[in-house]
This record gives sequence, C-alpha cells and structure tokens, in this order.
Amino acid sequence: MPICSYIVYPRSGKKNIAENQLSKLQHCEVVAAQNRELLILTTETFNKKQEKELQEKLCNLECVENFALSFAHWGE
Amino acid sequence: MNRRDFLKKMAFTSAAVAAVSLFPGVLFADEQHDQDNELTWKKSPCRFCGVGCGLLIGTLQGKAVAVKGDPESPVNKGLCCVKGYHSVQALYGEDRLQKAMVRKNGTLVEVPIDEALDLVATKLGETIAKSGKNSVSIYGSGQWAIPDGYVASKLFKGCIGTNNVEANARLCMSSAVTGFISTFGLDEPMGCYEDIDHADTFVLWGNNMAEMHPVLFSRILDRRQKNPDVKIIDLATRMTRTSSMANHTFLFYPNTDIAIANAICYEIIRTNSFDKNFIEDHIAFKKGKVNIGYGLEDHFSFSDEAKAVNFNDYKKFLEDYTPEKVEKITGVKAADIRYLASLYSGKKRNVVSFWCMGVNQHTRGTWMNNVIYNIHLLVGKISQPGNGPFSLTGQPSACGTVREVGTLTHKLPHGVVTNKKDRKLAAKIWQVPVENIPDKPTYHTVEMFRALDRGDIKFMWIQVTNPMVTMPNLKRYRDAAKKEDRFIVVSDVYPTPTTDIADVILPSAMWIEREGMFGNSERRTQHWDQLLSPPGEAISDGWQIIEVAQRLGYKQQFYYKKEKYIEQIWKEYTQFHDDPKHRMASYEQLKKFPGVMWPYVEGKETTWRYNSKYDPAASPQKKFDFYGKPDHRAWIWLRPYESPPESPNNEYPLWLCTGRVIEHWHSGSMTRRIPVLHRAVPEAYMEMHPQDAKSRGIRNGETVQVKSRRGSIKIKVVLNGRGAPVEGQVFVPFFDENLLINELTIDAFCPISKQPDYKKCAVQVERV
Repeated sequence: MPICSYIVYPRSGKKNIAENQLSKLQHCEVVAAQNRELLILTTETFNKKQEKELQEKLCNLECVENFALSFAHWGE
Repeated sequence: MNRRDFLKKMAFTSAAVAAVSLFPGVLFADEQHDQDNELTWKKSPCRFCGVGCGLLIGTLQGKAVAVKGDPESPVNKGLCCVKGYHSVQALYGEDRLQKAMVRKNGTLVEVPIDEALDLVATKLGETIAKSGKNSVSIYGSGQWAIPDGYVASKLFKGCIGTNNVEANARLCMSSAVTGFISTFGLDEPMGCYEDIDHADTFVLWGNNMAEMHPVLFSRILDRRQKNPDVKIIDLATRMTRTSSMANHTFLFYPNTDIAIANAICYEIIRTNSFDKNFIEDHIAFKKGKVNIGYGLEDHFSFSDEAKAVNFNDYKKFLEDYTPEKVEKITGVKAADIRYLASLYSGKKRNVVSFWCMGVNQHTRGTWMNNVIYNIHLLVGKISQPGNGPFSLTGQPSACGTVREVGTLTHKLPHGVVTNKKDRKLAAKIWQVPVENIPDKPTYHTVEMFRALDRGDIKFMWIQVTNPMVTMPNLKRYRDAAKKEDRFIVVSDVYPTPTTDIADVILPSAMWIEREGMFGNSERRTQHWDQLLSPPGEAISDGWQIIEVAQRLGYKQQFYYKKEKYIEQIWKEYTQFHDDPKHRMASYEQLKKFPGVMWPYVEGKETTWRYNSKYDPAASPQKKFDFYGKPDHRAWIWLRPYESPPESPNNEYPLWLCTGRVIEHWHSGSMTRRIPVLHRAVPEAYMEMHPQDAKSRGIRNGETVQVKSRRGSIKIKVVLNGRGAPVEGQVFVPFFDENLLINELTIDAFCPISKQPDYKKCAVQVERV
C-alpha cells in the first residue's frame, strides 16, 4: 500500500495548471508553495496496480517538467 | 491519527524539508495549516541550536505529530532546518527514561521517583556535613530552561553556599562572554539577526554556518540572491558546505586566526581607512598580559590586567602583522588579507562578522573575540543596522540560562560573586543571608572535573548534558566519576555514557512536556507552554531541584507551586534585571509573542545596543555610548599571536579538529533517536585529505586507528566527503557515543575564559 511524496517542478508558468490537474487525480494530494514555482505531491494507493496506473498518469502530465521522489513507503 | 495518516504526514514533511534545503525561504505553511486543521498548533522555540527558530508544534490526542516553522517568528520567518522539522520525534525514542534508577550493589534498579529524590537530598546533606559545602556541585547546560538554571543557582549559591555551579556552555561560548566583557563591559551581542537584512558583506570566522546555523545561513543566501553585490567570506581551516556557497574561502593554518585579524587592522591603519572620529570619541586602547599559558595543570590560575596605552602604541604593535609577515604565519596570501581589509573598511559596505566554536574553542579564545571587535571598532562599523560583530551560540539557551541567569561559578543572575552589591541583591531576592553567598569563584568546568578526580568534589549533579561524551581528555574525567566515594546524580531523557556512571538517574520531562523559556543568540527570550504529558514519572529538571531543595529544608526560598512555578520563578528572576540595560519582558508578554529581545523598555525591543537611536540606556547626547565600561568607551586590545600548546610533530603529524554535522545535535543523544537523521549519518567518521591517506596506504571507507597522547579510537575514513580537510589535518564529528573522539582531545583552555580548545590537537593515523 504505497505512500509517496514528490517535489513537483511545473513547466514555466504552469504552476496553477499543474496544481489543478494533480488535485483532480485520484490518490493525489497536492500543496503548492506560496512563494516558489513548485508543489508537493503526496500519493496514497492501495495496491501495485493502482500505483502503476497513477505513475503512468503522472508521467503523461505535460504541464510538469519533472517529479523528484522524496519519500516512498511500500507498505507492510 | 492512524498509522497511514502518520505516514502521509511524514511523506509531506520529507518533501517539504527537501524543498527547503533546495530553495531556502520556500513556504507551505498556510496550506499545511488548512490540511491539518484537526491538529492543535502551539508555538515553541526549537529544542536544538542557539539560533532559536520559532516552531509551531502540531499535537493530536496527547502526541506531538507535526512541526512547521512559525511564519510570525522574526528569527526564522517560517523556515526550519532538518533537525527542527524532525525535532518532535526526539520525544519518542523507544528507550526513553521513564523511571528513576538507583545503583544498588553495582546495578541500576528502578525505584519510585520520590525515593530517588529522597536519596539525592540525603546524600547531598551528608556530603556537605562530612566534607564541607564545596564538596558538592551541580553541572548543567545551555539546554537548561531559564527557570531550571535559576533554581540551580539559587539552591547551590544562595542556600547551600557554594559557587560550585557550572554549565557546559563553558565549553562552547565562555570565550565570547569574556570577549564581550573585556571589550564592552557587558555580555552578549549588540546587534540582532535583522543585521542580515541590512548587511552586504558577511565574514564567517571559522564558522561552518551552512551546517551549524543553517536557517541563519539560508537568510544570508536569500539576501545575496536578492542583492548580487553581497559577499560571503569564509575564513576556515578546511573546506565545508559553507565554503561551497561562499564567494571566497581563505584557508589558514590552525590557531593562526589572531594574526589574520591583526593584519587586517594593520592594513586598515596603513591605508588610513579607520574612522578617526569614532576612535577619538568612543575607544580606549589597552594592553594585557602575554604568554599566558594553557591551563594544562591542575589549580591553574590566571587573571589579566588592562594597562592603558594609546593609538600610536597600537600602531607600533601591529607592525609585527604586515600582510607579508602574516602570510608566512597563516598561509593566507597578503593580497587576500588586503582584500579583507578593504571589505571591512569600504565606505559603502555594511559588514557583519559571524563566529562560533572556531573562535571560541581556542586557547586564545578571548583574544580572538577581542581582535574581531578591534576590526569593527577601528572602522566604526558596529551597533548599527547591518554592521557589527556577532558571536553565535550552539545551544538553545546558552545565552538565556547560562549567560543571563549566570549559572557559572563566578556569576550571579545580576553581576558577579566578587561584587558585594551583586551579592546583596541576590541575597535580598533569594531571601538568604548575604553571608551565604561566597565571594570567590571556585571551579570552572574543567577544574570542576579535575576536583572530582582529586576528591575535592565528592557529589556532582549533572542535568541536561552529557559530559562523558563531551569533556576533553575524556578518560581522566570518566575514571574520576567512577571512583569509589564519588556520588553522581544524572537527570536526563535517554540513557547515555553519562547515565552509565550515575549512582542515581532522574528521568526528565523534555522540552514541550513542561513549560519553559529559552534565550537565543540575539538576546531573544522565548516561552513555550506545556503541550504534552511527560512519560512515566519524568518531571522537569527545575522541579527536581525544587523537590530536593524542599527536602533539605529550604521551603521558604522554594515556595513555588507546581501548577505555576515557571511564572513564579520568572517574576522573581526578572527583579535582577529591572533596569534599561537588561529589562526583560513580562511573563504575559512572553506568552503572547514569538520571543522578545531584551533590553525590553516601555514595550519596545532594543535592536542595536549602545546606539542612542535604538538603545534607551545609551546617552542621547552622543551617537554611541559604550556604557558597559566606566569610561563609556569600548576597548581595543593589543592581543598577539601565540602558538598553541600542542602542534603536529614527527610522532603525531596531523592536526585533529572536532565538530558537528547538520543532522546531529551536540552529543547525539536526541538526534540519534530520530530515525531519518540517524540513518542519514549513523556513525562518526574521519575526514582526511586523499594525499595523507595515499601516503599511509589508506583507502576510502577503511577503518584506521587515530591516536593522540591521551587516547585512541578506531574509525572509518572518508575521503572527499562533505568536508575536505587540507593536507596535514583530519576532522571527526563528536556526536557518536560509540566513537568517543574526546578520548583524544586536549584539556587545554583559554586562561581568561577557561574554555577548552576542541579544534586543535596532534594525532597520528595508522591502518588497522
């Protein structure tokens, strides 16, 4: 039951779009920095299949430059 | 909160910490607040270093579960370092001490805390009756909350009648105290952290701020990012993370920094760049004793004498410190010394000098403090926004508890024991006969442990510190504590090498498990409420002392009620500082604000002391008034470069320097219980120059034996790590109780401050 967090670097000028798109994804909670062009994404999925599907969706987000994995808990 | 919610909070915190380290100043606070609105958030200063960051602690169902920087705090403005973010996890180590323990037939066994407190009081009384009041002592720290240190001093100095009160801040900042006192007549910095917002030149003297004071360093980096003309100068003996961020790093040979400072002064005078009017109006020149020794022998004693000299004498004295001569002593190029002088004297430059242990842990630590002041005083860049010398501290209340309350052998909460007026004031407030308070200091820290070894001290109560990790020349003092007729009481939150030598262990309530106050490096006092219940039978260090004092019969003096003793003590203590030079905020004001700087006069903090525009204690007739000295002048001291007590030779060819890493605080007893910090740096190591390793056939990661004249340990070598010593030097952090580097360090100290030098001794390194 993975729980992960990422620092999200949006493409230039796309912070609000990235926040909007990420917050609409299931299993995602997003917090935008108040004073920088970056976000923190926390994800919680309940099996490997869900995690894989989520990661594919994240990779397809064009408004995001890259994700830096900060924390990963792969479950008991 | 269930386990998954806790993990999600950890995940968020982990990313937030990473983001802060990459982008100093980044804020997520409001969103986190919204997300976590089921938590109760309350303010507290951080438990760890002397910066004194304001935190907001999130509690839920009796547990601290989250931390964020307090955006209202003028210290950190919402930032935290990696230790601060993880600080509450230090409360929840599996081996937390919850019960008192007493050594019976050689084994520590759990007993009810009242039984342990009875025993402490009985042993204290018996020892005084048998061996005299100077055979008992208390040794605390700059982590004592202010009320705890206050009651320790009141019990031992006021009631028992011994000046055997010391604190580990002697080991980390007493040179700063004696530096301030000898130059200005009063302790603690004249400026404040707001200086960072006004300065454009930061000179860091032997100070790895990026790791030791990371939040302040982030503020400096932020300042430079917004103002490209800002310069950060790193004067160091090895390359560190600070060096990697500095505009310039100038590496000097160990112990030679006084020569650099004198050369800067020489150059300022040679180029006629000094502030003539400032010197005429505000400066006196003094010469002290020279060849003052190193304190290596028991009963060492020294007192300085100030002989009046003049500007021309000073100018002549500095002729020994031309940049060319000093290049040979220090290894810093003459051109670089001239560049440093030009930065300090530049008409359009605002300069702040920062320092901490590199300057203070020095056998000429007081002199080093004096010569940094000399530079600022020569150019008149002091006591004004963005200009000033600023000594940082390493512990959260080294200033608040040790320097202000005066938990050192020679001090009282106001003034010194040798001053009759100060003793009278203490006796009046403490409700004891003035004859109770001895008029002579007894033992400073190193000498106190030497007295324990000799048998002059037989009872020692150690609170909130871990001397069996942190004392220099450790073996002598560990053996001393284990001697047959010594009785050692240790109050702590976790088992440590110091609890190992205890006859009684008292479990302490930690930080936010009780109410308290700390005082940080910029004269800011910060209050926190009790947010949690302490585990088991743990009680605060201060209440332990009160319980023992009452058992000894001092019920009149220790009248405090458990429900409000912190408030009662604060109201009593602040009577000592009821004047515009040191007036402190009321209890109610401290509860309300995220810290208040003293002197606090008519509802206003004093930001720059001695400057009449900001300081109500300064005479309004002139711009500056150094009122700490009877002549209302700051003193420029003639302080020569003198060699260290021990230098590398053929047998011990390398310099050993000790210090810290960002992940661990002090002796590691708390941060090593925080899993993420422990995993980041699980053990101590030795940094070495690749050429030194190659010439000894040592490869990266190999275990070696490092040995001094006093002891040896086996330790892994790191080449090209986060710190990079130059050839001929090694560095070892001291946080690891399994690799006690202080077995090797030397117990030489500054004869004026009595602060030991942990930064320089000679060692050999061999493969094993």
